[in-house]
Amino acid sequence: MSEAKDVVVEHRLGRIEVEEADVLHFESGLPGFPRACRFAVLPYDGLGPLFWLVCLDDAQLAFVVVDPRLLFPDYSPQIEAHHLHEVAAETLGQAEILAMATIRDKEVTVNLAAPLLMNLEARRGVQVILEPGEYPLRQPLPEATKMPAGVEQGPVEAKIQP
Amino acid sequence: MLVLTRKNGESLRIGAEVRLTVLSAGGGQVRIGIEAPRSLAIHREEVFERIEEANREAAGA
Repeated sequence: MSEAKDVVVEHRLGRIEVEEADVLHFESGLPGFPRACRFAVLPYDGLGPLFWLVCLDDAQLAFVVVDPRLLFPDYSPQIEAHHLHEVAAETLGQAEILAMATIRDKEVTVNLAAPLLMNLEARRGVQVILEPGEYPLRQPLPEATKMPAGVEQGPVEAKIQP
Repeated sequence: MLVLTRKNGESLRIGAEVRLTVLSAGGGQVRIGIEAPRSLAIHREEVFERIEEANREAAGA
């Protein structure tokens, strides 16, 4: 008999079950979603480079996220000490950077202007708003990027793979 | 929206830890100084709204 997990959410993506210790906390929420504070990161399709960032506070809310440096190796956003402090990291090496992907009409763009900074060990995250103009808000994918099949379904219609 | 009038050099206290000071006003613009904990993000409204809108698009909303 499998043990029940701490957190069970009947999300529009499907049933989400995670341990409380795996919950990622965005204490300030996200711009546009100030009360979306507890998230789980799940694989998108069993393959990189995409992941689901699923909100445990809102069963309708989920984002597709990607490691931006897999797509744009030179991406080096200006992360300040107070951003690191927000996620209880002392150095940039203790944090991960992910970017929100927007999938609309089968087009994928990546938000490089406001990356997600996450400390996976401390289970904390924050969305960092970079100086305007530093990086684009809707960066198209590089040519010839291979995406998992079904990515064009995007966050609205897709379901998580069990 | 709470509307208050301040003269140059006067301040507002928001909560216990945020102080907003009118440094100078004139010519259709105002210089505002803000003292707040570093954990409190402060952005020009139009910058923040762009990120809000992008997040809403990303959520499929």
